[in-house]
Amino acid sequence: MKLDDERIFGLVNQTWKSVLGAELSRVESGRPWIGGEPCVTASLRIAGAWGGSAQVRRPSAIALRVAAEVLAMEPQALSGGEVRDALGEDTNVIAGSLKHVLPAPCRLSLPAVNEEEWAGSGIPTPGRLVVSMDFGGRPGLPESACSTMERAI
Amino acid sequence: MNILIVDDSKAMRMIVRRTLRQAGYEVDSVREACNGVEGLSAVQEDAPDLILCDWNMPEMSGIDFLASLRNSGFQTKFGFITSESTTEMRDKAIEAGALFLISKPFTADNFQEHLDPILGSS
Repeated sequence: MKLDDERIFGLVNQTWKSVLGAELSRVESGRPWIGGEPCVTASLRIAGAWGGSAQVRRPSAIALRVAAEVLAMEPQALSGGEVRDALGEDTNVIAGSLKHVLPAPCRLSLPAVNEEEWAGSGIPTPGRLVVSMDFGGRPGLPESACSTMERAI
Repeated sequence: MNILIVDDSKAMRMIVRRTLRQAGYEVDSVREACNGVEGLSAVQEDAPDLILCDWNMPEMSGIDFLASLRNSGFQTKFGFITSESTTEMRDKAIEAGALFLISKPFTADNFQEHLDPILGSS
């Protein structure tokens, strides 16, 4: 099965609907939407018949709001660990879905979650798919907020 | 009906709780555990009607937890909810005594498909 940005968007959107019951929309590829601002990034290695990694990156403010919604808590009551847990589990589920469209057998590592000042532009390069998404329309979430999913080989 | 959710992710435990509600199950109590070791203690204290368990967890994995349960004589209904669900894992789970394996991401419909035959229609 072909692995392309449309396919990855479908997997991420399916996970998002399952977790929060909301639809995502795509943002123009390569739009430098989170360069230079604090982000939370979850990375997970895929090894076996297909080798690579999957990353999900969110601006810290969005990661906080998403975690609050998932955990049904007020954002100010959340610990950093809870925010990282929510993003890590989200990434784990997305990678689990991704695995079903990859050649078998493949193994997933546990997600590693880091906070960083990310200065990248989210521009796709050879061997790397980047899919940017907008959380617009979700009550309680800023309309211009975005998340990105990258697959690197 | 008393349900024990075993998952090292607090976020996933909350998502499972929410999906149970969306699927329409009337649950008297939901207890949570972070791994198989905590899960074993919870079963000994509360005797749940059903255990919903992750596969990959620190301390004690889901499959080791299930084996420990059965070795200790507990026949509690048990199902896996996991992001990795190969045919081999599914076979191993059933062989160990699990009733089903639900893949993440899941929906309320997925829960009903697997839980209705065990718990009765929601």
